[in-house]
Amino acid sequence: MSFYGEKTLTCKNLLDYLKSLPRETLDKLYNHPATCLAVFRELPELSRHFILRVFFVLKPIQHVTVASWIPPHEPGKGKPWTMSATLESDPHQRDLDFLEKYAMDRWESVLQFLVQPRQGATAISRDAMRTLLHAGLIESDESESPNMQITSSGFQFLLLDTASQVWFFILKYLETVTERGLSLVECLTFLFKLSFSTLGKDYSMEGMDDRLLTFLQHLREFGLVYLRKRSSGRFYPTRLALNITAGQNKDHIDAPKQGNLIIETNYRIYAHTTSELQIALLNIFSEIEGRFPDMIVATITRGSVRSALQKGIAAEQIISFLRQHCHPQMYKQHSVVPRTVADQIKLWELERERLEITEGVLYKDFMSVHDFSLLSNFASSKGVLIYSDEKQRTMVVTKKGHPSIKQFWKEQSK
Amino acid sequence: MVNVIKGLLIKCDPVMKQFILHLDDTLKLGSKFVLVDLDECHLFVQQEVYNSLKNLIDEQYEKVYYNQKSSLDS
Repeated sequence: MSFYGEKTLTCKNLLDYLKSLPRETLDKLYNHPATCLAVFRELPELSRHFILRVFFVLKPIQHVTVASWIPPHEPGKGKPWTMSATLESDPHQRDLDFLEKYAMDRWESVLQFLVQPRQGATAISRDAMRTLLHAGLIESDESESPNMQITSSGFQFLLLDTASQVWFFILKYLETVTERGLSLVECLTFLFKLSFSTLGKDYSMEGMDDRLLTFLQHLREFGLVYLRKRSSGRFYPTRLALNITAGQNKDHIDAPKQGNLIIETNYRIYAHTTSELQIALLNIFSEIEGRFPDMIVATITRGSVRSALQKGIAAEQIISFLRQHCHPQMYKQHSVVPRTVADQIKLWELERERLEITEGVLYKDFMSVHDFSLLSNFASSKGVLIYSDEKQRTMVVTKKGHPSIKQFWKEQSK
Repeated sequence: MVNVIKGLLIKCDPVMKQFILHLDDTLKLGSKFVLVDLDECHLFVQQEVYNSLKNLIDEQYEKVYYNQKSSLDS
């Protein structure tokens, strides 16, 4: 529920994003098999059936369908970049754990910056900061000082699960991509190819042009790929990159790291973690009462939840955050987050929403009952009537509905 | 002639409505903001008062709520 004046963070999924792109871009994108496969996976079952059937019809075949299965030939530098270019084995081979750790470290440093932006711009790269600004997750209070403030969308972003966060971040990054001189089509295609790569396998950088290399550098800063150094000529995709197109489809994701929160019915939280980020996230909606060498004790209080609500976070977001980070032992219980706690958080949210406010236009002092019923029937048929009282002969329509009602009324009075 | 007024429609329970009318009477927002009193659960108010209204309601809640923790500390 979001009422007048509040905005909730929406995370467009892959299909919505693609629909918003212009037609020529889409045409170029579909020229690559990786894109087609990624989109295909996301489609509902019926659409997939349709596509497969049309596919095998011999005549007439659409040019686009045939063209999309020819391997890409990029004009320009020598050998085009393909996923299967062979490499001799890497002397500095990196294993899965290292990649995992690297990805999470980089991603957490971005999140850490969001939580405490006052520490200055040294923690993360300028590109990351630019994207965060563009996404509306942070804002600068004055133009002079380098200090940034986190916004209410920023808080909501922090409490999302990692895959959604990465996806949202990349979407916002792609929106700024043309300003930086990179091609949207190239970047998107590259991302799709990445999402089909194998975790732990290194890929060659031969044949990538400058723009793609810049994009790769940025991905390295966000933790989606790992490069030992720029000249090494090979990169490793990390789990974050693989999950890009799997945002909505949870069974493609590998098991995320174990949660470590224990939530009790007396509103106590025990977090077995020493990560500063986790502590900062807990601090958003609960009161930290004790810190031990390997554990944090916190309580969810009305005050702490209310301050989170005032920052623009919804109760559902808090509850889903708790659910995601639960200790595996909690899954044995019937409801992962205790019912009392979840319900109480929602009740505290409802407390603040005792008013239902809609922008509208009021009509009153009708001359006759006939006029009134004519107009109110018309308005309710349009679906814009929000209040009507026959005895008083007053009615209210939504602000958006007002012009058409006005038009109708003018025509009637002639 | 029909009167046309632009503003905000507020729907709430009767208790809240009385509270808002009280704020209006005592000019807590600086001036009268309720345009029309529609019925037990509905009010029509000026557009600009949205934020200040929310803040005042929050404040009232804070005053009324019994905070067990703070009373234990003292």
